[in-house]
Amino acid sequence: MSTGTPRPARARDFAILAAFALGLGAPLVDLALRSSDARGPARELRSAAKLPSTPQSLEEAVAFPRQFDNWYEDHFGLRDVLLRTHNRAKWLGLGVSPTPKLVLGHSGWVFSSEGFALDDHRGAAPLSPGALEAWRTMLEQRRDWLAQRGVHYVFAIAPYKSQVYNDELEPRFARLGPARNQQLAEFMAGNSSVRIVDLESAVRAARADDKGDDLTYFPYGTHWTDRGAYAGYVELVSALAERFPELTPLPREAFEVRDGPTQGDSWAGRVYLEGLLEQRNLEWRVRTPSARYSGNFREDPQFVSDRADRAGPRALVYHDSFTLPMRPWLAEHFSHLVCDWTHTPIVQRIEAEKPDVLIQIYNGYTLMQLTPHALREEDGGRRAARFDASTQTLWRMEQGREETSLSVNEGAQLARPDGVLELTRESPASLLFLPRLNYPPGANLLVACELEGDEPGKLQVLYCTRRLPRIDRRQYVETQRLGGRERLVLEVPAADFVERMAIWLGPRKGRTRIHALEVRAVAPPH
Amino acid sequence: MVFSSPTFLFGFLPAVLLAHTVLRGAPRNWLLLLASLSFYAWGEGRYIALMLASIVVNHALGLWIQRSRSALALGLAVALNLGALGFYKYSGWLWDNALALCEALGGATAWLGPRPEVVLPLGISFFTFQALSTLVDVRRGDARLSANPLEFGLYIACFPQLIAGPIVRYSDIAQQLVRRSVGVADFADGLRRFAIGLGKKTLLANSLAPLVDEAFALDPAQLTCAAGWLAISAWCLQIYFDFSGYSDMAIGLGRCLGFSYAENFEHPLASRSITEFWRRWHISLSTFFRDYVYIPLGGNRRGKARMYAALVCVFALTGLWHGAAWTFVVFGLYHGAVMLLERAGVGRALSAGPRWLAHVYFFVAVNVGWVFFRADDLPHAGAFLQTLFRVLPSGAELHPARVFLDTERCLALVLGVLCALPWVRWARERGEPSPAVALACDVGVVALIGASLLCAAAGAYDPFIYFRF
Repeated sequence: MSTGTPRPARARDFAILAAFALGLGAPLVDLALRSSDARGPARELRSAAKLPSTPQSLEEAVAFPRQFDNWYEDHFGLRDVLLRTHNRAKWLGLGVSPTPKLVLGHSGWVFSSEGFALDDHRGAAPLSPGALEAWRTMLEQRRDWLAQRGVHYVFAIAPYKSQVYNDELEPRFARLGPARNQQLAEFMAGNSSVRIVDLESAVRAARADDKGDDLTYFPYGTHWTDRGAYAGYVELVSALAERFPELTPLPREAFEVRDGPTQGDSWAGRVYLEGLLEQRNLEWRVRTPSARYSGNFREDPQFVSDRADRAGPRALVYHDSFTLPMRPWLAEHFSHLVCDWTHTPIVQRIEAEKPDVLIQIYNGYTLMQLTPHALREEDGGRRAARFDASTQTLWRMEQGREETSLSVNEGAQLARPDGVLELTRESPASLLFLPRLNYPPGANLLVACELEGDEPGKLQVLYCTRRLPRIDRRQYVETQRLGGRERLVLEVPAADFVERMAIWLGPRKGRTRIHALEVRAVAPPH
Repeated sequence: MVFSSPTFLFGFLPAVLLAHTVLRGAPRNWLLLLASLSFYAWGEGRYIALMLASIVVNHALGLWIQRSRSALALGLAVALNLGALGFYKYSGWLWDNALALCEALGGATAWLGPRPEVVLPLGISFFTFQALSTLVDVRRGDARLSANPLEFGLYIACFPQLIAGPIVRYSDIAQQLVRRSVGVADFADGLRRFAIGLGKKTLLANSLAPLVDEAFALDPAQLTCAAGWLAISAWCLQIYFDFSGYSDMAIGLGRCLGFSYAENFEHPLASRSITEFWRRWHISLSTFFRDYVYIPLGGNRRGKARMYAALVCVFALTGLWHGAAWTFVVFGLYHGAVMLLERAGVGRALSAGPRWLAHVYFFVAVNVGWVFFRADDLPHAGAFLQTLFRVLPSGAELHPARVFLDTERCLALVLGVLCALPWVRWARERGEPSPAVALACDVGVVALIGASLLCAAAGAYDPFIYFRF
């Protein structure tokens, strides 16, 4: 067939074969020659999938291909080279981000687009009247519950990068209206005695001091620099001073400013463009600190500090990554300070620490993720009472019968050793999936769980929405488990809900017995 | 295992192509059957027994039909194949409808039992139709089935066309199942075709997918009219390049392995009517329904009323074949209704008018259909159509078209429109390409291979904001 092919055509055929052989074969050669650590996803801030062991059962054999695919996708030959080339072509050639979690602005600055942050920035995802009311209720319940214990409550919101550097964004992201944090702050000012401490104006004002590479936010990261954090810190401490007049923010002269050992918050490594994207990281350190603490304040989930002179009130801070740089600065004002990098306050911690003030401080984008959900203690059992009063059971686990409608992911196992359903969690991402639900439009869903666990921890109900159609950790309601046998009721706002829910019991491995699990529909409280 | 995954590209494919090139004679078929079954088991391990049962049972029934021309055997084959397809693909949907009907009529629902949670076996719509077409052809005397189950097994399970078609006729490749040769030119042409398909999938379809997903995840009332048209046009291009890309890859791989599969897409988006579209879109499916449903129902031979009824029936089934949801049924019926209108006179009017007007008509008509295909449910489709035909702004729009567009998506849209046009056919009508043009094309293919592999590798890229254990 090929004998009649003209010579130039035959040469081209061989060239095509060679190109394919090179394209498909080179990764195999690299797989054999180079260490997989060099190719793996450590730069992407995640662990590489493990090579599955030889299947010992039919179930394992069925799961093997997917596990192998996951492993191979993290280890195939030339992975790092191909990704670097791909990302460089997109970044430099097309001027777009190689990951959907970012968009590029002018001058290659990056902005977070994860979780629809830019819709929030544009004012295109406003909180509904019901959601605003839910926030007001939760904040007032929390304020009142804490006040009964003699604890002052402060809720503060930090601006995210595009709210301060919106002129660096492409014009297509022009604003239509206020972002959720601005909307909530305005609503609370007009409708509640709880005041939200909005740090945006202070941080925007700090931008006026930008000089060269000394900026308020990192150009290749999504967080504020220490100077930006300082502006937020001053505003926060000034707000606290209304209740604790002895608190005054440290002046700029109290800080030593020097280049940090790393480039700070940067996506350069995560997009495989280290060396190409360089930025300066000026770290602010208190010159003569009075507070003592241990560990890495910029990374550890928990931070505890004490002043030697025991001067100042006691404080408990729940926060996100934005507050990490200001932990040692806040430590200077409190006799005892505990900072927890988590969203939901923990009742036992409040009871144990007996703080004078509880501060929740998050960046505004958190309002795109966080569904307001009062703790059981804060709502005085009203949610459980609404559950009990509802007659619209959508699904109920039948105890004592083979449960086929529940399922788990890879890191979890379901068993019924003595008639009671038992969930074994072998990975931080272990999930229990509830069956698909048909629910009445406009209703909220109440999920009641009667659990018996070994230790305190979290309970999250993760749910799908049309915009987030897969179960992941970006859409959830959360409460705390005390340990022992307990009944917990969580409320999922049905306005966004689509069919699927899952239960997450925290990152620790362990076993939890599930005595009851039921979903009922109720009218929204507002 | 999808064709654009690292496991396929940097593992399975080179290993199979190498081994197939080295082997000769019967071991080649054994290798290919084993590779195909492994390919299937890799994607759908729990249903490998179903696939094997389909091969064994259909082969046995085929031989019975061939020997006896038994209508009973054919009836049994149709019942078994459609029964399996119905159970695995439609049982959940039928249960939902039965429940809704019982609730609407106020009847008891307990008899329904729990909803069947059946996972759809990969490629079942394709391999079921291939088996059915063979058995019908054997009974009609249009095909002669080999007694060798290896050949029939390879026909049903051959991995290039297993999960996304085209639907191959047994008689078209019966000889190739017994004996086939692959020269350097065939192999290189196969690789060229595979590269084009991979490029369509990774560079165009995958680049447009985020735009479409973002727009369709929003409340349609919040989209401007322009954003609605942008999203549905992008979906039209995405599904075309995704599907035709897979067909190109299947045809290319088939060629590398010595099989000659028929074309499945002939630039359908360059059509000027829905009738023309269905002559160019998923040709193997249209042909299947024409030969095994439309013509047996009377086709064009028994009067207009019968023809229209057959047409509606074919399109309802075509819609349902694509998925178990009312949106797909409406998609099919909509296309059937438009074709009826075209046959009733609209087609003649379009032919008489200017070409650009026919293209505009087709653009609107086909995209209205795609709304039903892509929407989550019928209310969502209805709301999206309202957005498309909203004459005046409602004031609720939050998402203009520009929000969805960056350089990459604009480029994908422009390239998508250009690549949807039949340039190659137009060029060939002007004669064979010069050596310089042929060389330039091959340079383009090599660049396409490189770019596609980069994009395929990027499928494994998943950075996190904080360290994820």
